[in-house]
Amino acid sequence: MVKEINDKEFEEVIKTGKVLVDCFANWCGPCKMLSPVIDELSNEKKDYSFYKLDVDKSSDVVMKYNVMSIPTLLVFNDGKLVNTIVGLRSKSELENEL
Amino acid sequence: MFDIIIIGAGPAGLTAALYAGRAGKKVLVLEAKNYGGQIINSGILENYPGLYNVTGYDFSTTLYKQVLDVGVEVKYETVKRVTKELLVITDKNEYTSKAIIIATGLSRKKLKLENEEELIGKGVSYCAVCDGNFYKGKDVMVVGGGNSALEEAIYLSNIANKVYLVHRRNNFTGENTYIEKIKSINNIEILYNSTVEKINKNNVLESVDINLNGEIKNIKVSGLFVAIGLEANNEIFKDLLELNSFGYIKSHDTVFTSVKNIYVAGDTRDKELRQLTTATSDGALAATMAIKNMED
Repeated sequence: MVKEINDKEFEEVIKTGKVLVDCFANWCGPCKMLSPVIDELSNEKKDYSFYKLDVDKSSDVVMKYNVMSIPTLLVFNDGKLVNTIVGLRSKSELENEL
Repeated sequence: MFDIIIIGAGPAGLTAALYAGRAGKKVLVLEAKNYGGQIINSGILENYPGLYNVTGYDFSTTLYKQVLDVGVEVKYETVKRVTKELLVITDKNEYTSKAIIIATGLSRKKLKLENEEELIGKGVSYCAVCDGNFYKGKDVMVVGGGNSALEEAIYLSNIANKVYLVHRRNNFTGENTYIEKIKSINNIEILYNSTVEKINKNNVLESVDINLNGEIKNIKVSGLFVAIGLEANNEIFKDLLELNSFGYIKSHDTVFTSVKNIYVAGDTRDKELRQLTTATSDGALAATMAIKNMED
């Protein structure tokens, strides 16, 4: 299971290495469909750290990174945003993106 | 060799798979993206008989599990071509089958303007219920004049500061109850006889140029919600099957197509009512007819 983080923890976890943050909400169907895919990827792609963030509880991140649709995946490398993936994707599409 | 190949894992395709799987047939479902189809974007299902307080996601996931439980195989591959000899060619493999059920559904129509694709998730949206909450207190625009556009404008008027409703005609095609309601809401401004000309950006959506009765008007908005209807994606079948002028697959006796042993189910069929109930109904009938004709 991918660990859920909040606004406060966010800044700390993205600082080092490759990090993927799955921005989701409980009312979002496509987010629920993506969630098991992220779980699978987290078991397979050991060079990345995976986290999830509830957009309804973390407005700072939402504002800062202009999240305007969910699911949105924010991909960081040593604290720098390197990719933003918006919308439901298949596992193979995500493998290609990472 | 499969008994039945089903293209599309939405409600119609999965229902067909459930029926065919329960009948002991060897079934393959091919899906390009994710199972569930359009219904996964819906919240609580309001009009599926017997389901109360169930979301579109829960419905799809339960149906998907049911299908896997009866031994149906599901593969995530994109179908590129189907022949009348019942050969199915995907981006990864080729399969043969005794019957094919097409249940490819519909997708939201796009404006087909520059910057549109690029700004999806950065101001451009095709689903107000999914993305509306990110536009609290901002100005947004809805494009369209049918029920979905009117519904989206009403929904967004409760969240956004102001909603511009852009419609190319001088009257709406949606239901009267919506039209009356729209006119009574103070923060909705209706722009009749207007079309979207240009989408402007600076990283995110910045403004939209509207052609209003021949005059170009620039409107600053943070969100552009496109609700100009749905379209079938039947390009790959156009040489194989008869399509109608809107691109839907022509059917006769409900689920039969112009080619023997190829059936059509769900929203991509030419039909009067596109609902979850009629999609599952089509799926059940297509599988049953496919099996019956296979055995005759």
